Amino acid sequence: MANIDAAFVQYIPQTLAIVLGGVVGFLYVLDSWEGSDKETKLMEKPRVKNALWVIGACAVGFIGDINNLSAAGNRAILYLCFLLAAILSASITILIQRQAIVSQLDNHRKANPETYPDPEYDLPSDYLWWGKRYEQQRYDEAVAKRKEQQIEKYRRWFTVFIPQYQRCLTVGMGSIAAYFRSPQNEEELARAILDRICIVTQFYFQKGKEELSITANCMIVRNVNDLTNEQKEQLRYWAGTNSTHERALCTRVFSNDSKIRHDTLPVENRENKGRSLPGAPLAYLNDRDEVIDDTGGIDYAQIALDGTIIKKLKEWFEQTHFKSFASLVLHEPSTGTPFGVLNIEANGKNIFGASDEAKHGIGNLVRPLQTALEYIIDYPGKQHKI
Amino acid sequence: MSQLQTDSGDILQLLANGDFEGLKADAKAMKEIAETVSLPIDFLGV
Repeated sequence: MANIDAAFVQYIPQTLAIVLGGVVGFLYVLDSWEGSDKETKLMEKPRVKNALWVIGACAVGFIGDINNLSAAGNRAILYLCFLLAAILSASITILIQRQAIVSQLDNHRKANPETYPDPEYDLPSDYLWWGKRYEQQRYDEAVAKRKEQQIEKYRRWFTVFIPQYQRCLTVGMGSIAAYFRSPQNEEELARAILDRICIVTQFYFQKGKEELSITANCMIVRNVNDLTNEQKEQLRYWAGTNSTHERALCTRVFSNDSKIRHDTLPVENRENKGRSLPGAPLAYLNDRDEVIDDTGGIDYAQIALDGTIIKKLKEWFEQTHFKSFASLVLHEPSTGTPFGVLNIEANGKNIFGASDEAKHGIGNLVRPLQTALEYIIDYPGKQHKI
Repeated sequence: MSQLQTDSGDILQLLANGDFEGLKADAKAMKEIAETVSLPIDFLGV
């Protein structure tokens, strides 16, 4: 027992030196990293001044004690314990402070992503290098910059997009009136609306280096027995005698910039949904809008079609000009019955954006023009003719 | 009393006159604007 007590007493000075070093290291960081060192001369920086005090005082004590070592001869070890503890404590305090900034930024991003600083602002590093006040200045600057960007977006929205969008909507609504006055102009009016659908989509498309081309067309569903000879000749991807389709989608009207490409695509019966072609036929069959973000990334394993048809499909998508498209179902306005599909095609990927939210948003913007088309496009069995 | 003027009276006029070439030209002008302005998708706020 006496031995244990003696050992304990023996290490009290070192323990005190470590505790004292830890406190000094902690206070050193709190004081030295509080301000901004960005514009301060080296010798006037608080962290340099404070470090000189700590090291200087320690060195004086150390040198002084070299000539006056205690009987135990352990004063040098005490100073070493003090210094190491101070350095360790200072490092840990800095890292904790840095982590607190990272956490604050993370909370900011979750709570208010619109004003979250751009990646060019590395605020945790700013704290490490230049101190808390400078980091705060940079943070305020970053938030102000993001707010300005948001305001610029609103400005663009109100001054550029809204005026153009209201002109597009005017074409949509005016076309319905014009159609009821002069139904013989159906195709021209539908084309005018398709042009505006392309424009609305183009506003939101993320521009790349390549020249962007967005086109649109309408397909109308017909019973296979009612297909004209020309439409029968245009029938593609038909599964021959294995096919169970009784209907087909036939291209009807194209936007003005389109390369006219008349197609007839088989629509499988509902019980054979798994055999449906992707895009317009599947959208019609499910009565649900479909967006293909990348025609090169279609999962053909999901389609229970013959290998030869899938091969033809792949070849077609490889050679065609568009890389993504949306197929939006057209409904009879009075009954809500699907009668066709509006296809919007882009020569770049992600026609409606990459996220579900973006697709939803752009789909909403296109929707009023799509409704106008539903009133105008002629198809067999149209209910709301004059 | 003041008069309200909107920017789309000319569109209705083109439609009323069945001027589809005019509508095409209008679409072309709008397309040029859409080509130069990119509205960030995140701004849809959905």
